[in-house]
Amino acid sequence: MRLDVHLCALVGTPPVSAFLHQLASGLALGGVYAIMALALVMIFQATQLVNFAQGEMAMFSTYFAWRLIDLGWPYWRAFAVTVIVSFFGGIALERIVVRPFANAPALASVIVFIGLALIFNALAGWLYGYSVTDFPTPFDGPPWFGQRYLSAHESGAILVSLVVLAAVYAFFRFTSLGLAMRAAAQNPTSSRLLGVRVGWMLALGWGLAAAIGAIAGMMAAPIVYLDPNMMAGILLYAFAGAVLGGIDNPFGAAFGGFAVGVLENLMGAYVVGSEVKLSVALAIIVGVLAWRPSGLFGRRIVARV
Amino acid sequence: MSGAILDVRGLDAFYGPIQALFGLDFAVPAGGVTALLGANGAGKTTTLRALSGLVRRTGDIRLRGRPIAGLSTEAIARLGVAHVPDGRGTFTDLTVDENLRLGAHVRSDRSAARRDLDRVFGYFPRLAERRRQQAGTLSGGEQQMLAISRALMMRPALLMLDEPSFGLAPLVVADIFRILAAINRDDGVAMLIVEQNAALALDLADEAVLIETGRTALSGAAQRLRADDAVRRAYLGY
Ligand SMILES: Nc1ncnc2c1ncn2[C@@H]1O[C@H](COP(=O)(O)OP(=O)(O)O)[C@@H](O)[C@H]1O
Ligand SMILES: [Mg+2]
Repeated sequence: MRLDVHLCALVGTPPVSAFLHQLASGLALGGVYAIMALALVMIFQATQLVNFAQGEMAMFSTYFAWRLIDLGWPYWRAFAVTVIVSFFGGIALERIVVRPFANAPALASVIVFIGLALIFNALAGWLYGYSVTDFPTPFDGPPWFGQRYLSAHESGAILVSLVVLAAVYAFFRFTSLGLAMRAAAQNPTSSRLLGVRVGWMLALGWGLAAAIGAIAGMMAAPIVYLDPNMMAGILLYAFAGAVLGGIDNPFGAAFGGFAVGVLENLMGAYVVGSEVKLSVALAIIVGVLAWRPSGLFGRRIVARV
Repeated sequence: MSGAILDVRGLDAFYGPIQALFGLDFAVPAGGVTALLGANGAGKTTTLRALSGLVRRTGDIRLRGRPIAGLSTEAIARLGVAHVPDGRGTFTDLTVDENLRLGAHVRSDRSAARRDLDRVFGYFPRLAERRRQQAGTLSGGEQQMLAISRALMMRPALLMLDEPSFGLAPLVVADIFRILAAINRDDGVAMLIVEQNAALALDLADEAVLIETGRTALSGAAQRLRADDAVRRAYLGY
């Protein structure tokens, strides 16, 4: 599928239309980055820590969905069950693995996250092997907007990302549980004095991050294919997007995710080719951060990583 | 002591290995106001934090006769202890409305909570005007009003206030204390109030406790402490 993208850019299509094509198809993985960036921000706001295992958790969820589909489950049922199982899995991880390090130095938590990432990666390799596998898309009809800009899956993935982002926004903005989670992240002591169970709010944050990460994984897999390392690059881009937009700002992080997706695609097609586009995209981000250290929409400088 | 909403016996508190409170005894009568007085660093804030379970503590703490010394901060709040911390504990990034909604977080009686919202806006009309504003943009006095209102949204059995006059202009302080008196009188909310401004606190209080370096130095009726020569010289300044 990446190959198609480059072919249509180079062969015969009018320049403007090819440019729009690159732009639009950048939004597809951009949506995946945006969701992963949001997952990172959710944990970061509560703990000032970046969960480096977020990508491998999403990869593991995607394998779980793949197993269900392989067993003959209809796509959307497998999708829904995967999201729910990932949600509870995320809660369990926080309660059992992360919680004991709540008062440990930041570095200890970072090591726990890296350990988690390695374990999920090894577990996936052991259970499912390291070969690269196709992953189905529920959007496999003809392109939604004619042949020109996007495949059906790319359109569907963008739509799913937007729905996820809107749902997360509505949850935090309009529900009292969402409000309590924001409060717990901002000011744990004040929250506890109001009876908010801060520990559970953090666990719930892990559950939500794992659930939306699973969706990101399932939207990414038909594009990048399924293998135990599928999320490594994606998490890096998502992190870059989060930092670009402002890691303390969910809106900024999601915007940053989309921006990185588009940037990556345009770089790959027009400037440097797909081999070094990662470095160039990162260089541009570093440039932006030199100009605005807390990100485009962020307010303060990241103190701990 | 019967008829006490809060009864504290032999309260010790610790910051790590350092002991900050040494066997405090005091009570808050039902529907009454107890003032906690003492110099800077005496242990007033620590006392409130110990009661809320924010620092390690031992001793006998009873809320309406029920022991709470072993409970978590969340559980104590859910039993009806509202703690307005020093520094006010504002959720600066949230709106005034959201801060107040958080006060009602543990309540399930939605319509009663809405009536309480109208009630606190009645006490503090300025908050009603600033409902949609970010709480961090409020003035210090408004943030203190917000902290008190947020606590009232819990429908507390006991309201604990840590230096509500701190850093505020005298007119604002007078306003806040007048409203606290009204809340105590009209709603029967019992209060434990920490103050540097002893004259103000003793006016409002029925009982008072004087703390010196983590120990109870003196306690009794507020009237009696006001008349005490040592208290007058050290804390009232005349
Ligand atoms: N976080 C802390 N760690 C260690 N000691 C503390 C801490 N907070 C307060 N203390 C000590 O406990 C004592 C009582 O402080 P505090 O309760 O804040 O006094 P007050 O509120 O009466 O001014 C002081 O000696 C203070 O230095
Ligand atoms: Mg104090």
